[in-house]
Amino acid sequence: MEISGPDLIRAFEMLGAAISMGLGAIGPALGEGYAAGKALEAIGRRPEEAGLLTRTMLVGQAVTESTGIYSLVIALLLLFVV
Amino acid sequence: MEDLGKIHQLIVPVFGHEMTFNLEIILMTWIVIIGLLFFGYLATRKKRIIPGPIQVLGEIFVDQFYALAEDALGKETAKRYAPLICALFMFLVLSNWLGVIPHLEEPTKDLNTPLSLGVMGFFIAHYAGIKKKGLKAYMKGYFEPIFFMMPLNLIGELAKVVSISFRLFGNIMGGSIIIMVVSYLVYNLLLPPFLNAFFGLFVGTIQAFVFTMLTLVYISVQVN
Amino acid sequence: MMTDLEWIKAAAMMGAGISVGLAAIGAAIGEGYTAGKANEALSYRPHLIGDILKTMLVGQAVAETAGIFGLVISMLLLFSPMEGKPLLTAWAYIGAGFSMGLSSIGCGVGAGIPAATACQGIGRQPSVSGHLSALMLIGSGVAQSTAIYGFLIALLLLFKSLPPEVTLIPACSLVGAGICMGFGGIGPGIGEGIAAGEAVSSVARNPVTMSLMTRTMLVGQAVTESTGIYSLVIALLLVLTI
Repeated sequence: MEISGPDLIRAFEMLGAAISMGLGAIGPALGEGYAAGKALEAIGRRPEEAGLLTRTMLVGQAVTESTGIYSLVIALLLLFVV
Repeated sequence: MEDLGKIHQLIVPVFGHEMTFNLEIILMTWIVIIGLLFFGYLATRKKRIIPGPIQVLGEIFVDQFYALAEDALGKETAKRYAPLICALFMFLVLSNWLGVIPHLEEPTKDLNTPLSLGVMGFFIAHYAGIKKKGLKAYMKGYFEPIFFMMPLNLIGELAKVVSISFRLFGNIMGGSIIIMVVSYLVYNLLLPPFLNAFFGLFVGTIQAFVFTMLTLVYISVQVN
Repeated sequence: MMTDLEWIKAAAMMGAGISVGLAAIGAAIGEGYTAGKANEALSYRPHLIGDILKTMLVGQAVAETAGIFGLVISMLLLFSPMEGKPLLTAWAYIGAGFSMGLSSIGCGVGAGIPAATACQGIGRQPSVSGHLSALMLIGSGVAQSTAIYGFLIALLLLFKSLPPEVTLIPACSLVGAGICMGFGGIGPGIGEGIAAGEAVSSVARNPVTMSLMTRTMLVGQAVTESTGIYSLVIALLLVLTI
């Protein structure tokens, strides 16, 4: 199997995209799960504030997810642009 | 298995560029729109104090989402944006349910539909923010907590559009590919109807609700 | 010198080991956690042995599903016909093992957390044990979804028809799809499990909030799952563009 330079680069782009998205998915998901859990605990304490707590949870999760989005963007760039 | 990822496209050359139309998706979107218009017609045809079954359904939708919007935006702003939220949910839920019917596909399976809805929500949220706070206070929000956080804040705002649309797209497309692969493996016996019910009805409803709630939350973040 | 068939067989063995070995980690941790919490609850309320034991067994069965997925994939890898397949299949088999095995870790742990809190909750509020086990089943069922995506990617890798010649790019794509979905499945599984666990313990504290809690839990879990969905999208792109 003869391996040329561009082939090697393309192959490592594929692997890089996979590792970027795969590892990048772990942290945000754990953080978002923790946020959702704490929000649920708080709703259990004060059910009448459910709307406010749900909205705050969603805002917090949207911010937490940014690093996951960065991984996604890098993976898509590696697959389609670079 | 071979027809995975294949779509029918109409490519029109315009001044040296190419415009691509995904024909099936456009057709399915129109089916959803016509279905919703028909539902609206049936729900409002005979308005009575003692409502018929379809009128009850329509009233439930409107009541629930008006309450959600009022809760998040306050009474005055809600009057403007609650119809949007209600319509968005009804469109998405019917889109996600469409794949359950044989030979029809979810319009949300194509990235273009969720992405355009996400971009729409983004522009509406920022328009609402500018209108409520004024341009100066709106711009000031980007320079907090310190001025060189501006690029990160900008990326954060754009990331919201990507996250909201990819979440819906990935869920619906993943579900439909799972159904296709499993149907291929078991020769369409027994299992696919249950999978269809799970991915089409259950996941579809939840994702439509999440998309709607997130749009509402983004508007409320900009407004408050 | 090894023939193509021997390489493919060797890769299938390797993939089967990775799949069931990694999947066993998560399932075992989740089940052990459940059993520990159930014992803790029993030490306070020994007379509730029937309810708590039943909930513990159901919860452990759900956590076991991730391990069973890993077992199914490794069985498929060991006993699928390999004669006349192209050499790229070897890479696809290793990718399938990674996809299923890694994504099961998260889902096993994630399904164990709500089961454990359900056992504790029954110890606190024995009268709502039906509600608690229903909420636990919904929560841990949703927490399994990334394992289902890992299963899907593994099946795609197993049954996709591949080009006959071997080049480095498709080989890396096939292994990469497995790694992407595998690692991407760990976080969402555990995160959704944490959310479902808190929901169950809140209902045990305040049973009237059952429907509100179910709704909020599903919304929170749907958002938590999004990074898993991004991994699925990238993995599908890697597999389908070969």
